[in-house]
Amino acid sequence: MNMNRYQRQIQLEDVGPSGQEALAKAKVLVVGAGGLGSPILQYLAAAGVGTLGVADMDTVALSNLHRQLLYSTQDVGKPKVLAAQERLKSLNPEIEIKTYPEGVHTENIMPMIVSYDLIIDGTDNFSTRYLINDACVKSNKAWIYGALFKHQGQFALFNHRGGPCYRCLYPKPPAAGEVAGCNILGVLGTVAGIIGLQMAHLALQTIIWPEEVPNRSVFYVNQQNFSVQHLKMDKNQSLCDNVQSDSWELPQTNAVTNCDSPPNTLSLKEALLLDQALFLDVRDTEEQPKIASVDLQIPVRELELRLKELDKEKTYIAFCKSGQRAKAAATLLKEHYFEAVYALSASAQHLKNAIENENSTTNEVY
Amino acid sequence: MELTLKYFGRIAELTGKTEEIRSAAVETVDELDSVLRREYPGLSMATYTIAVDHEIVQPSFPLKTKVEVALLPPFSGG
Repeated sequence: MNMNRYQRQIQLEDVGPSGQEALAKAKVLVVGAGGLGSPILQYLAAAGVGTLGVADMDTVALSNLHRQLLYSTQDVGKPKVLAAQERLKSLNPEIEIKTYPEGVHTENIMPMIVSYDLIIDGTDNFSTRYLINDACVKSNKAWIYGALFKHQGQFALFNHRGGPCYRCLYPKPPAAGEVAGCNILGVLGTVAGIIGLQMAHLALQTIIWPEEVPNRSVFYVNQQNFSVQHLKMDKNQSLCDNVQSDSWELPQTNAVTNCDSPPNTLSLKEALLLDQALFLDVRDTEEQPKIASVDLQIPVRELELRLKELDKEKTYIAFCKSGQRAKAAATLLKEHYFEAVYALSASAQHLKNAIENENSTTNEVY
Repeated sequence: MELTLKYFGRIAELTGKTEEIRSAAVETVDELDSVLRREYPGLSMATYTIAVDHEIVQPSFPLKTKVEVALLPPFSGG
């Protein structure tokens, strides 16, 4: 280890060589390499965290780049874990980067987290967050939480040295579609960066000063007025005991979409069998791939203003890249008394492939 | 009693304000919550936890005058 690289942090008397040694020995898994994950990975790599795991199933999109400064324009279309690994290696070749291009899901999380000391949640959905919480409680691992809502953010360290877990704060996930994420609401890159850096800082504190880091607190940040609320919370011992017991099963996530599991979700096969249904593309207009035969396109954030373009008598299947915005769109239409609306769990790419296959088969027959 | 109420995230959108000072004849957090749900019907469909003077508390927590009560929803984006 070239100590010169870390000289300015080792100079801090409460870090010193022993703090740097602790960082070098630390193994941290970052789940989700997006708006929060990017700054977390960059700063932990630069600080010399010895082993960094990156779990994400997404590819880099142009609309990510304003807040995910880990990636460059030429990375668009590449798997995030590979683009991240490349960039982090050039930032700090002394550390080990492990990649998990399948992301985390119910089946792989327990064996994945066993080799890490600290887990960081940079995901954008509740099903993965509750999965991370429950897996960490069962495995007795500390984890750092962070999430965004427009110009606001939350962060906390959970399950550390007998402290509370996420379920002690919110025992159950909200209803599907109740709380939207950045893909729908939008976010400034700086807000994602600020919360990501708070989480990264909490990680450094946890590694260097495990006994002093706040483990019974949750922080609410509002960047509109630059306020930070520091809230104390207690552990709900019986709830944590329940989660830890063998009878408590890990929540199911959809490995394909990592979306909140909703009612009214259709698989690709189900969607194609649905008679008279219209496909509704709720992605932004510039998103790829384009699907020529799709009936309608209304980006989800415009949907509420453009309801007049839809007919309540008809059946709609909303789709997007991951299924998440499709679910939000279906929920929104339900709220506006559309009866037959569904969200496609498969991606636009899968839909395009299936439609094209179907057409080529039809051509062969006739 | 006089209470300072603070609303975060989506809760601020449901109530149409980020903060208000009001007097209410309530003795516990739960009673205050019922009053607020009547006034802001959107709250009954929302998930949130409640803090009194910067501590997350249970519904039965007794309220004193001049306290600050915060309604805190979970966030999702990342």
